[in-house]
Amino acid sequence: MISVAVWQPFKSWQGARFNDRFTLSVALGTGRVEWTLLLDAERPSAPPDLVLDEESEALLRGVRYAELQGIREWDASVSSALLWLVSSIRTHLLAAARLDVLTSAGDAVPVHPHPRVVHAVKPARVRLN
Amino acid sequence: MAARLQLKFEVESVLALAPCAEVRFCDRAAGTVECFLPIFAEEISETSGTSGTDGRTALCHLALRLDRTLQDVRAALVYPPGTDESDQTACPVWAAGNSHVFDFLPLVEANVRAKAAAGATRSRFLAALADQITPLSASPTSASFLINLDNSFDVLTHPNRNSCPCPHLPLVHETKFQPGVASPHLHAA
Repeated sequence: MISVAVWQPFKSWQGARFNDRFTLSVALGTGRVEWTLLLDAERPSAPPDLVLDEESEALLRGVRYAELQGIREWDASVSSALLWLVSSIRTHLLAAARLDVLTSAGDAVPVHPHPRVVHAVKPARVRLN
Repeated sequence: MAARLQLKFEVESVLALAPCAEVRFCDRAAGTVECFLPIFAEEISETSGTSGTDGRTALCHLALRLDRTLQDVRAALVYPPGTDESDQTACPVWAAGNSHVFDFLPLVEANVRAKAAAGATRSRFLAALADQITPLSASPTSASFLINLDNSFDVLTHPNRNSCPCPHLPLVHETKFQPGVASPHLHAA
């Protein structure tokens, strides 16, 4: 079980029918990381985008967002879809963080801080209005 | 190099002993690593796999913060919110230079499990004792007896205390039996 808090709801643009921007606070060890959840008020059933914090995004550059199981099988009618998505990203993040520690533990400055970097996390869509 | 290998050794020990531990840099510039290990009521059997927790809930987590030189290691037990303080156990102190994960973690697990087992045993003991001292189980030939009851015992032995007409003293509860006379403290089981 993971602890995820959803807060700071707001509308991406004034005419949006409902709040489609949120902040996710996800437990990670003794701390928490904050990600931004971007839904699309015009297409509520579309899978969301996530803007990760800098550290998490660097660790997850090798993960293709569109290929995450939580995205591929996204179903907005399932209440646990978001939790499943966050959980899968968190699992990838912890695996990457573990590898990161094992490859660079003890170094003052990691020689290869992110050796698995191949592909960036899907960039967030931002509506300017 | 020696410090690096020592830190790596400790991290690998964590992963060997607790495969589902969360390990990450909490301060990359300082090289500080945080390990967050779940502690379960029982050891995960070797046949159940190494990564799964079988859906079990951890009693608590051990948060271990390893600095690069292992001279300032912080260890703490993180219990779920709402856990009674009396059910929590103190985390042993990491002795720099002497402690290693491979002996420190089993020590912490043993302490936590012993505390949890003691709590479970206490609950069973209270239940058994309540069965024994409930007036319903007393011999009708008994003249009288005195029972010391704290609040927990009082609740256990008097489930209908709110509707009971007699005044229950919080700490000392005296019940006198008279053969052939129903005691006001007799409650349905």
